[in-house]
Amino acid sequence: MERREEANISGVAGESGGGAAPDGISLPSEVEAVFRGFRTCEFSTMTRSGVPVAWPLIARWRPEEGRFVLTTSIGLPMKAFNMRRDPKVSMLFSDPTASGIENPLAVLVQGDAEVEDEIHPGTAGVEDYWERIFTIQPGGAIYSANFLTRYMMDMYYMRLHIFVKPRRVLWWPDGDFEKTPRELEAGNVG
Amino acid sequence: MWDNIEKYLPMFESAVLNFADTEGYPYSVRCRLEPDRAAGLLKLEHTNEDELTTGPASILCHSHDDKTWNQKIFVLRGNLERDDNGWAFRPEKFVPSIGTGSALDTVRMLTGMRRSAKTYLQKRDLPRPRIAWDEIEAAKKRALG
Repeated sequence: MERREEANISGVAGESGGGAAPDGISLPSEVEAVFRGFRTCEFSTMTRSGVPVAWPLIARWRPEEGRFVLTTSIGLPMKAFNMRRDPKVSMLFSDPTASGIENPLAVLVQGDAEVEDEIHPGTAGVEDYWERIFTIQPGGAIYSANFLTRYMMDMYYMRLHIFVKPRRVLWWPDGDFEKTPRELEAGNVG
Repeated sequence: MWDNIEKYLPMFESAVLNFADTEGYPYSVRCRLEPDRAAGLLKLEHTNEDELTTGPASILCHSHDDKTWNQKIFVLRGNLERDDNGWAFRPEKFVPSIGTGSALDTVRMLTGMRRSAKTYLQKRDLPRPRIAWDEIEAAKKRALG
């Protein structure tokens, strides 16, 4: 199959102009545009019974760290339990709604997740992530708008931080899943 | 389950199919689904069959508007199968979520979140954290002005 371009993600840095991480990871600029522009990704974890289950999540790509940051409320902890048992995850970026990107790719990231034990009741350490949430989902501001919603929804802000290090990135030009995806494998990422 | 599938699936142009690849990582593709209730299957359309592997799988249908609001979500759990007629997903469980259940389901989801958070803290003998509302408000202000 011709789809694999390089054995190492860093191999395309010069051609693509994509962002580079300290350890040399570099992605095509159109792939990073999807990471920045898409509102949600379909984030999959492996359940105890071995069924991969996806849920829409907001993800923040940090090219300088070569990893994604996401969070989950302890009110919805199943995905965290899944990742602590099996860190293998995937993130599909396939819904371009409101991304502003013309003819976007669809991108699948497979990687390894780390879930912190600490419960974070604020934005410290992931300020960029919360700014992203409020920017693209302004309606969510209602959860902290007054005493009643703060009382009812405080668990929404009790978050576990999730970091995902990509090991393989596949993308479908024009978001056409009938095509064979192109692929970069990052055998030495992380 | 099939009543819900037939009610809610037409709300979505396509769905996300999730299965495990040969290395045990989740693998997802977007596809279209054609329900065949009599056969108990959802036939897969418009996806590259070379990518698929049989076994435990799930379907996620979700949508949101330009402000990432008015979300609609449901999940199906089941198995990915292949026979002479091609690839299909055999659903075993319908999991409703935002916008795809009754008002009572929404209340149950909210109270379920509160209960899950309480249990999470109790099992770890942790006090209920005090939310840093000043940090939340500052992030909100930076984002929304």
